[in-house]
Amino acid sequence: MCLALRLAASVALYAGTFLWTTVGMMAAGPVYLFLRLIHRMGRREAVRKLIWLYGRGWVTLAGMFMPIRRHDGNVASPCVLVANHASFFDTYFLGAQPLWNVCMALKGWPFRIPCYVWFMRAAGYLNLDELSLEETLAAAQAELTNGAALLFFPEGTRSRDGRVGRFRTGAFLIALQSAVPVVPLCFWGTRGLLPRGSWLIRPTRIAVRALAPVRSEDVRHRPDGHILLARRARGIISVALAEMATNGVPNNTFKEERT
Amino acid sequence: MTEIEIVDRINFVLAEEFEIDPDRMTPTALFKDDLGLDSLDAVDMVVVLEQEFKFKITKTEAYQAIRTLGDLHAFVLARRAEASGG
Repeated sequence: MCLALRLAASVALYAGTFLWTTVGMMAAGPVYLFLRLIHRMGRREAVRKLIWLYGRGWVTLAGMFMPIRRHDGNVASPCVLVANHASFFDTYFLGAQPLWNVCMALKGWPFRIPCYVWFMRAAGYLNLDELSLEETLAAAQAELTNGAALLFFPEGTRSRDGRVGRFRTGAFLIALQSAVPVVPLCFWGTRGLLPRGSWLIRPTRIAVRALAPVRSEDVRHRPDGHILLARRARGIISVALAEMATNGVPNNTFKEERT
Repeated sequence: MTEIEIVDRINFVLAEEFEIDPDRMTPTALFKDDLGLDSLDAVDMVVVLEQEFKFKITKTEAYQAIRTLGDLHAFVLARRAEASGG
């Protein structure tokens, strides 16, 4: 794609994101009331559904500028979702997976983004910079008991070179303590869209793919089980991303947003 | 290992694990505010310290009171002294 077209697509996607966010803010109140009063959802669940709908709408919008394959298969909740992290837009692409009752566990800086912070607080997202370890473990356990999925980016930060970094093990400790499955979530191509340190969006092929839960029975009762589980999950995600880079994204589990 | 070597080793393994600029590894550095570590990083801090110094870290009051890198140095030095019977 020539530079002018890239620039035009980048501007259009930024403008579309701004417009969609504005529309989302305006529609948030009525939709929230609808979910609370008609669907009888709790406060957090209603806000999480709102955020997921915003993400799903954004994925559909972004699909007008680039091919996006989203995961429409079954992912059972409660679970701990662990995702590779390559771009600011990874959280937007959560709208491309089927679970909406997702509680994100994030570092503090996203909680300082204007417009989003109220929704993140209202959704009960876990601010890992504010909570102590004990508070984090307790809050995570409560969310899983209530049937939510917990989302972690175990690398702790966006990849600098495109490779999957070392996984922190806290998410895996939570999964083992709560006896819920760890589901690897692959964001493929998002670094090409907007790598760390860049502001110019480059439309590219994107795929979001949830993999089968990571085998954990053999490590469940080991004191270093969370370390082994983290290594296993990182390996599975790395292999899946490499396979998608080499062989393309498998068709059978994906819905093509646009080709 | 001397106390200085232990402190240097702690700083080295933490800088490696969490990709922290060694210049920021001062005894007064707060883990959250100055070194950018979050609550779940405490899990991995325990892992690297246990692997490096070969002792178990349990949720004692002393461990839970750690806020700065200097607190951690003192905690590890005390545990090593306990382990060696000193």
